Amino acid sequence: MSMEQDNSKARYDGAQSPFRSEVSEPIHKGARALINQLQVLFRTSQIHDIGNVALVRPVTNMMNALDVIFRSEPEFTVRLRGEYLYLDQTRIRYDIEDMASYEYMVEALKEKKIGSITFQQPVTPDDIKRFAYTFSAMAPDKDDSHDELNERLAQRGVKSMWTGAVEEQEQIKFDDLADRRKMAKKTYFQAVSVTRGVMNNIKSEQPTHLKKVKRVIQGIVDIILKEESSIMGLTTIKDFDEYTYNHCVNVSILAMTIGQKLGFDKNLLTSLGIASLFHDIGKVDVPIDILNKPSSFTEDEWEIVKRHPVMGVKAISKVRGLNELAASSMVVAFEHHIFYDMTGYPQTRNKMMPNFFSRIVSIADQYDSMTSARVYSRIPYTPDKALSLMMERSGVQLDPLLFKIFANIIGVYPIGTLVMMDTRELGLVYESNPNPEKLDRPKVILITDSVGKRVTGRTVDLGEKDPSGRYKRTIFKALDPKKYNINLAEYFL
Amino acid sequence: MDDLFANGATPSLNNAAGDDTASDSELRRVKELIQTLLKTKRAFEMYPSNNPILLKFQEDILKKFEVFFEESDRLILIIRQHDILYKGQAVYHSTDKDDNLARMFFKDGLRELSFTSGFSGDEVLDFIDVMRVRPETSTESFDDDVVTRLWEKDFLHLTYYVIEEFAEGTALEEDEVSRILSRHQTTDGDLAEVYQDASTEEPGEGEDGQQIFSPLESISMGFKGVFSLGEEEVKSLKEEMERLTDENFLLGAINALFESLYIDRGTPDFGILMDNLDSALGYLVRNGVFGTASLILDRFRGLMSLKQVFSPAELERINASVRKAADESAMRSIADVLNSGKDVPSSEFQRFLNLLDRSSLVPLSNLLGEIQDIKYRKSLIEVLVSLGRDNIDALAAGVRDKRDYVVKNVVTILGRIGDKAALEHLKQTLKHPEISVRREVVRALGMIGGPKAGDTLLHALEDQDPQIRMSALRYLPNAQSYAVLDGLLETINRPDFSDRALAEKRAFFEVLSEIGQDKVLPLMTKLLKKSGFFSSASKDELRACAAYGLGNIHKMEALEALKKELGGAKKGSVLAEAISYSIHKLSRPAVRAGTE
Repeated sequence: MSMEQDNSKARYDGAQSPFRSEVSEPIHKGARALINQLQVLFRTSQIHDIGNVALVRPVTNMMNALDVIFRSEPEFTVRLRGEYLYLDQTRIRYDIEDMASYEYMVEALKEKKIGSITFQQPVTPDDIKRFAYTFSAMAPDKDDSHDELNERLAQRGVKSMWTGAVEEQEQIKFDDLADRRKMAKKTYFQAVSVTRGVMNNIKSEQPTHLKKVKRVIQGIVDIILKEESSIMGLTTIKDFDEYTYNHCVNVSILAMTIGQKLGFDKNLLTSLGIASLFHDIGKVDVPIDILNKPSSFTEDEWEIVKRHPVMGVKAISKVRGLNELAASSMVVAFEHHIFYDMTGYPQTRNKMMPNFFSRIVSIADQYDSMTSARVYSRIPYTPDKALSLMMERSGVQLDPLLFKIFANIIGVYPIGTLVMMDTRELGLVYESNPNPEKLDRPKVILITDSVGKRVTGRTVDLGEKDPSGRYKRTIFKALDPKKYNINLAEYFL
Repeated sequence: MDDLFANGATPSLNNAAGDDTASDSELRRVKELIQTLLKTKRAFEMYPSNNPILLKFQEDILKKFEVFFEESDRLILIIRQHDILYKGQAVYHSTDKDDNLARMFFKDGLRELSFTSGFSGDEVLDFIDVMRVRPETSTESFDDDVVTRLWEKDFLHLTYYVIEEFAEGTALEEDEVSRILSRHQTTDGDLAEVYQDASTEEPGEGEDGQQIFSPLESISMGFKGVFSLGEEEVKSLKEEMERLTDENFLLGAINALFESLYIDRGTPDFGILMDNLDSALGYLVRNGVFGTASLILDRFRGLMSLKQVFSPAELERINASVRKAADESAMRSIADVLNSGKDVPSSEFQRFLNLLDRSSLVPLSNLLGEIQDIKYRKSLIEVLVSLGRDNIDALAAGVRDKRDYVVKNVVTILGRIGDKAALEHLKQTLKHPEISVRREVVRALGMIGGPKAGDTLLHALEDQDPQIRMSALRYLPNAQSYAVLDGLLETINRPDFSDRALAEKRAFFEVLSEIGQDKVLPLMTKLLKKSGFFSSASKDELRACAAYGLGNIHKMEALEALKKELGGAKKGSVLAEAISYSIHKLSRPAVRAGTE
């Protein structure tokens, strides 16, 4: 077989893939700084006049941020899409510290109906100031405001910055969603396969390379940094034959999503991804007839199951002894059942707060376990029931701050929730709203129209308003898709 | 076979087809650049990272990139199994299995590298690090490949394109997907049912009045703000994130291993965990992380005190691990890391050494010869001084080492231990050809002290180097033995003694008096009175030396003898100066108290 021929085909396919991270870490940092400074400038311009000294620092900071981005992009556009900001085609990442600035900018752009701001080299400090004041002076909710803004900018001699219209939400094509799913699906199953390979190797005491694990986790990191919903959707399909491997991958994805929300860089996300993928690795040493027992464990069996964290430590050291990569995995394998209040198992001599990674994984693990059908627990909790139970455990078993982050990610209507809207359309939630104020306004795949007739290939954003300023759709009722035999796989795979 | 991820722009395969032809000079530039890259890669594999020659290679390659980017904005290299292509033409070709740049990229799935103008010095260094072949035994070699390293580096001016190959995963995906989809197809009937139920029931109520599915209660009751983070909460999370360091993970993992060890005591798994801790310790030592390695040794020692908790066999197993931390192989690792140029805090190294077992003396002595940096050798000397007390012969074997600095360090240690068992070894070493070694031996003999050390020091008075002789004289009083007097007198009586420098002669007399006191008083007095013992040409010098000698004899007679001669000495002469000096010395209140 000529590899070259195969590869070149794959390459051309890849060229059309939207899932490639085009932007490097320094530019992401620059973009975050840019959003922060724009926010400061917009706020300042509402209080002080254009000559005020208060503007000096934000303008300088903004020039620095622009400089970083201009080094590789002489012209770029910050774009509003739904609840997110993009730098050209790449979603701008933000961490918990930048969350407020980010949300302010999203709201400010929405309010003025400005969909994008383009920056072209060279931008001067005066351009920045004039832009900020012109923007702030714009009346809210005006159609074609971008044209007016551009006109005013031109009158003031600003040629390096201009604005564009808000993209209509319907323009987010279902095809794009299908493309994202395709990539997410591929990566998800590769992760399952690699996990199975590694676990089997460990079980049979074969030497285990982590190269494939690293690469597959890096693939997931790339997807999560672009948009996490497609791969999170896959974690809701709790219908796979092999619970163990899928559970490992699900926990890894959920944990990385928390890490992403916290603003982890991609290398830290990779470490978290690997550590969480291996959290249950000690179970390879638990006899399969105990793991698959259809009834409750006896005390002796429970004692054996409770040994899996210690077995995990041994299993990980078998992979490679101890190095930085193995260390975080070992910590998580050992601690993921030790609770926030330091109870749980295994019982240790020195009582210590579990590592941050372990506390993240503990949340992801509980959620996925509760919402999955397992041999001994055929009927899983619905996502909201699981979240409610976890909320009771927050501050006792679970880290309360991390739980807040997690609840934010999962949203009021977790991905996979079947909803009826006030339009009487039925849909499935496929992406939660990142704005904590709008957790009840996710994105939805429509499955029936308003008279109950099946529809395919349409998505709606519940954050969208009509020209009168009213939300176009609001959730009227949420239902359990399992009860109605709605096969999520049809929509998420 | 599927593509999965890349960081780059759209792959430029059209270039491979040759739609844009490269000129000869352009091709030559690219070929030269690749050859320089290869040479640089090899140099980085060959030399330790602190070798200054590497900087030159780095500058060369950066220059080549700059030259290229003067003419073009982008350098796109297409990777084939045996070739690297630029604009469709081969700029590199090799069928070699091992040393083959194209193959190295290709086997990990890399198919295109695209450098853009602005590729900086830091990026050059990062790219060399990506290419550098890791030793097969290293964890990096085991866990990383070229693509992983490229991904981690985050280049600003380099994009790449990768093919992923997860055949198993693809098969799994197809099987799983079709299985899950075939299990149940959502029918129009299912949709009608849900539509019907949702339209007729009250929100949140099931047929039986039970809640069927509702948003998280507390959120639906007023979720706004419930899940927002306050300023303090954000700060606390940030602080937690700052603690996510490799070092803390290592500490956590070590803690997990020790806790597991405690839990698994009395089971066969105890041995496996101990093996893991051994390997953890080995890893830390290999990487020069002596602070954390010390923590393991410390905890081993802590466990060894729990005699009621662990069985004798388990305690012996723990002890074996402590011994293993200082075996020959561990010493090789220590030498390698300390000589690698890596910045290892010497305080941490010292702490690690202090925790080693006493049985590690011989390997540690050998290590003395392997470590190049004096800073670390000093730490080692400290611990050898402490460990060597019980086994002088084993330690002293080091004086026969071929390396001067090793001999010197061993002599220092023997001196600081101060055990007379080392004297014979030191005596042999007095014949060492290197002056600094002989000087150290004299110092060690002085530190050991006692009559036997004194006897040995007398041999040093025969050294051809005046500094060694002077040094030996200085240490002779430490012998506290009259036995050395004969040796000193014997030297003084030799006909060639007068040829020696005044300072040395003076030292001889001073030492002779300091040791001999009463016993040499008559001799000194007689010499001061120019008895004719020496030839007339050096009479004054001899008398002056005797005067200095008398200055060390704390007796009234000595002072009187000096005063008596003062008048006869020519003013400003060597003799007058010596007499005055000694009178002054003996007249000081403290000295006077001793003379009465």
